[in-house]
Amino acid sequence: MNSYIRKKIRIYLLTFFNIVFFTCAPSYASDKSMENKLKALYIVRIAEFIEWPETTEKTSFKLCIAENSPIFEQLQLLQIDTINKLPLHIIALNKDTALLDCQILYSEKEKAEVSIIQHPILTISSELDFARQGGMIEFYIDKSKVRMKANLEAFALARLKPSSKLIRLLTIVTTAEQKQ
Amino acid sequence: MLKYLLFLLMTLQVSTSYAISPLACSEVSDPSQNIEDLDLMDLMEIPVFLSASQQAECTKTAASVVSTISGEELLNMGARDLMDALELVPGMNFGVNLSNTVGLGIRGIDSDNGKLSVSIDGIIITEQRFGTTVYGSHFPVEQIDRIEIIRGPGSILHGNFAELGVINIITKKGKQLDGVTASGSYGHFSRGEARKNAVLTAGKEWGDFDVSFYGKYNYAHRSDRIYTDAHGDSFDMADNNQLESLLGSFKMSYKKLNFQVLLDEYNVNSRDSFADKITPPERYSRNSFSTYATKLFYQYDFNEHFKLDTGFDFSRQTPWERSRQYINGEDDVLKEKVSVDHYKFDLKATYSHDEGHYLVIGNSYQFENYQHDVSNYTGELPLFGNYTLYTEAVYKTPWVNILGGLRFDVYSEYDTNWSPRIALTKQLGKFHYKALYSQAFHAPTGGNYQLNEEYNQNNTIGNYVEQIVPEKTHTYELEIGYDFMSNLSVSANMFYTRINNYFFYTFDENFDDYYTNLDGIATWGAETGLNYQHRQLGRFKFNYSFYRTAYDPLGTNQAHDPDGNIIHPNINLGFPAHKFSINHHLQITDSFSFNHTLIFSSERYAYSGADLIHHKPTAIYNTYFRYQDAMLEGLEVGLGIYDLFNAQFQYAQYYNGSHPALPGNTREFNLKLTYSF
Repeated sequence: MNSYIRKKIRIYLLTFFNIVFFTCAPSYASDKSMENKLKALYIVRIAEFIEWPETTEKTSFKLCIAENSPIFEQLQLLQIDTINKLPLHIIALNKDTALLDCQILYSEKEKAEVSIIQHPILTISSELDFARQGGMIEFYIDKSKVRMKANLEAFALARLKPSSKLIRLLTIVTTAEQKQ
Repeated sequence: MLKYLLFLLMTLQVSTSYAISPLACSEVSDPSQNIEDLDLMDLMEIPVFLSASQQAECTKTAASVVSTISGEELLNMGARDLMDALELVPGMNFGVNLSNTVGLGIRGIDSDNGKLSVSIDGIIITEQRFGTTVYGSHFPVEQIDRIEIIRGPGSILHGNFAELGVINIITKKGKQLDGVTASGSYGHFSRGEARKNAVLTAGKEWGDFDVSFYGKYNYAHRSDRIYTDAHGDSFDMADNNQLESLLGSFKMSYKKLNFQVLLDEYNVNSRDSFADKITPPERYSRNSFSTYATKLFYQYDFNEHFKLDTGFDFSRQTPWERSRQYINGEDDVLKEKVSVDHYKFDLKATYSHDEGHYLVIGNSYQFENYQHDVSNYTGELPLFGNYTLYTEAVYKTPWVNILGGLRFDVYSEYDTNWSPRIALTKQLGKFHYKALYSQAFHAPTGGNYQLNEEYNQNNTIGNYVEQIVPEKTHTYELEIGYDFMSNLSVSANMFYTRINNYFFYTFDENFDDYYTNLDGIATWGAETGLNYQHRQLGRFKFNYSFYRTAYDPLGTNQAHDPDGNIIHPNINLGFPAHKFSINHHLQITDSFSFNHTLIFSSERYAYSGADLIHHKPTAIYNTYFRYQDAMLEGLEVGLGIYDLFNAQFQYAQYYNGSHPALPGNTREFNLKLTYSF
C-alpha cells in the first residue's frame, strides 16, 4: 500500500472514531420494552381472531387502555391504524371513560370489571390470575416467551367467539370458585 | 482530500443499513425486519429476553457486517431467483465468468475460486472443484425463510470458501409452511421467452417432529438480445441460451436431530463460448452442474449453558461437466466430467454464560475425493483433506463486547495455517458499533491443482507452471449504526481487504489456461444503508456502496490501454465503483401490495478480445404487484415488470478473459400464480 493511501485511510479512521466516541452516549434498552411491544402486537392480532356479536358497532374499533401503561406507549409507537379493516382508536382510560364503548379493554387490574362482564368487550391483562378472576385473556411469560391463558366462560358471557385457530394457541383456564 | 472527507462525513450522517437487532437473533425470521409484520403464531416464537445461548448466537452474528433479507421481502418484490435478492445487497455485483455463466463480485473482487461460501440450510452448494457458484434462474426463493449474508470474512466458523463472504439461505420449516403450496410463473422478454417454472412446497409439524419439502423446475433464458463476439460474429440469444434447473430439498427434524437431503441440477447452454469467439452455428456447448448432498446434525443441550453440536455432511458434485451439443440432433460429445465427493465431520462445544459471554471450541475433518470420468488430465489427483481446530470467545462489558477467534488448519497438500479474528462490538441503546479484524486462509481446490497439472501435461509451448500456494486475506471493517426513531435506522461501514498470494486465472498465447499466484490485490470502500417505514408511504430500503482499488501492483484486475497504461486507477475490471439500490414496498390494502426497486451501477470497464470496452452507468427499475387471497382464500396472483425502462444490463467480465460482456435481458413481463392449502 502506498503512503498516499495509508494517509487517507488514517484520516478516515480518525474521523470514524471521532464520530463514534464523541457524539454518542451509552444508553441501555430494557428487556421490558420488547415484552411490552410484543404484548401490544398480541392485543391487535388477537382481535383479528375474535368474532363480536352482530349488535356491536362496526364503524371503528376502540381499544381502551390506561395512559400510564407501558403498553399504551408501545401501541402509540407502532402506529397501527386498523383492526379487521376498521379504524382503530386507542382510548386513554380515565375516570370519565365510558367502558361500554370499548371493544377491547387492557386492564392493569387483577380482576375484570364486574360492570362489563356481560358486555361484548374483550378483556386482557398481564396481571396474575386475571383469567381465573373472570378476565378473558391473561398474558404470562413462559420460557422467555409471551403466552396466553384464556377463560372461555368469560368469552361466552360476553358473547365473543374466539376462532378455533386462536383457541389452539391458548392455555384454557376456568373461573376460580368464590371463597365463602 | 477535503472532498473525500466531506463525502465520508455525509455518508456517515445520511447512511444506514441492515443493523442486526439486539433482540431475538436466532428467533426472529428477519432481524432487520420490524416484528409488527409478523402474525400471532410467529410473534409467539419471539423471546422477550434472550437466553444465554441466544445471546451467544446474537453476538456471533453481530460481530460481522451482515445483511438479512426475509422471505416475505422476496415475495413482496417478486424476486425471480437469488440474483434479484442479491442485487439489493451493498457491495455485490454480477458479471460474466464464461460460457453464459454469471458469477458474483464482493467489494470489487470476484468471488470465484472459492472466495464465497454459499449454502442452503448449512449445506454448501458452492462447488468444491473450483469454488464457484453460478447464478441465474438457479436458486429459487419461494421456500426461503431468510437469507443471511456476511459481507466479510467468515472463515473461522464457515471454512475455506468464506474468505470474502458467506451467503446462507435458510429455508422454511414444516411448521412455517403448515400445508401445501403450488406455484407457477411465466415470463416473457421483449423478443423471447424468459422463464417458465413450477414449484411445490409442503410442510407440517407434528409435536416434536417437523417435515418440509420443496421442489422447483425452471426453464429459462439468460437474455433475448444479440451477442457479438470480439471478432464481430454474432448470434441471437432469444430462445437460444437455456438455463434449466431442478432443485429439491427434503428436511426433517425430531427435537434436536436434523436430517436433510438436497438435489441441485443446473444446465447452461451457450454459444458465447469461454473466450473471444462464438461457437459455429451448428453446435453449442452445455455446462452442467449437479449437487447431491445430505446433512445430519444433532445438538445436545447438557443444560442452558452448555451444548454440543455434531454433524456429518456428504456431497457429490459434478460441476462444469462440459459437452458439445449439435443442432441437427447428432450425438453430443462429452468433453469433461469430473466429480468430487466431499465428506465433513464436525464436533463443536459451546458454553454460554448468563451475561452473554460465550466460548466455542470445535474441530472438523473433511476431505475431497476426485473422480475423472472424462478430462484432459491423465493421472490421479491426491485426496485433499484437512483437519481444523477452531475457537471463538466473547467477553461482554458495558461498553464493549470483545470477541477473539482462532482457526488452525492442517492440510494434506498445503502448509498449516493460523487465522485469528478480533471484534469489538456493542449495541448501546439506539447506537451500535463494530470494529473487526479478520484473517482468512484459502487453500487451492483440487480443480485449481488439476488445471495446472493439466497445463503442464498438455501445453504446446513447453511451459511449466508451479502449483499455486494458499491465499491469505486480511480484512479490517468498521461499522456504526443508529436508530433515529422506531421507524428509521441508519448504518455505515468502511472496509479494507487485502488478499495475499491472489489466485490468478490466466492463459498463454494459445489460450491454454492455468493458475498463478499474484503478490496480492486489495480494495477499500464504504457501504451504507437506510431503513424507513411510514404509516402511509410504506417501507423504504436504501443502500449505497463504493469500493476503490487499493493495491494491484501489476494492474492485473484493472483496465489498460493498448500501451499498458492503467485507464482508471481506482476500479477493477467488470465491477462498478458505485452502486445504490432503493426498494419501496407499499401495502395498499391488506391483500394488495406494490413493490418497486431501482438498482444503479456506475460505469464499468471490461475487455472484448484485446479491446477495452467502456460500459455506461445503468439503472434497472423493477416493479411487482402482489394480490393475496385473490378471488379465493389461498390464491395469490403476482405481476412483475422487470427492467421496465429497458435499460438492458450488460454482464461485463471481471477478469481479462477476452470474453465480451454478456447481454442481460430486455424488459420482462412475468405472471405468477400461487395457491396454498
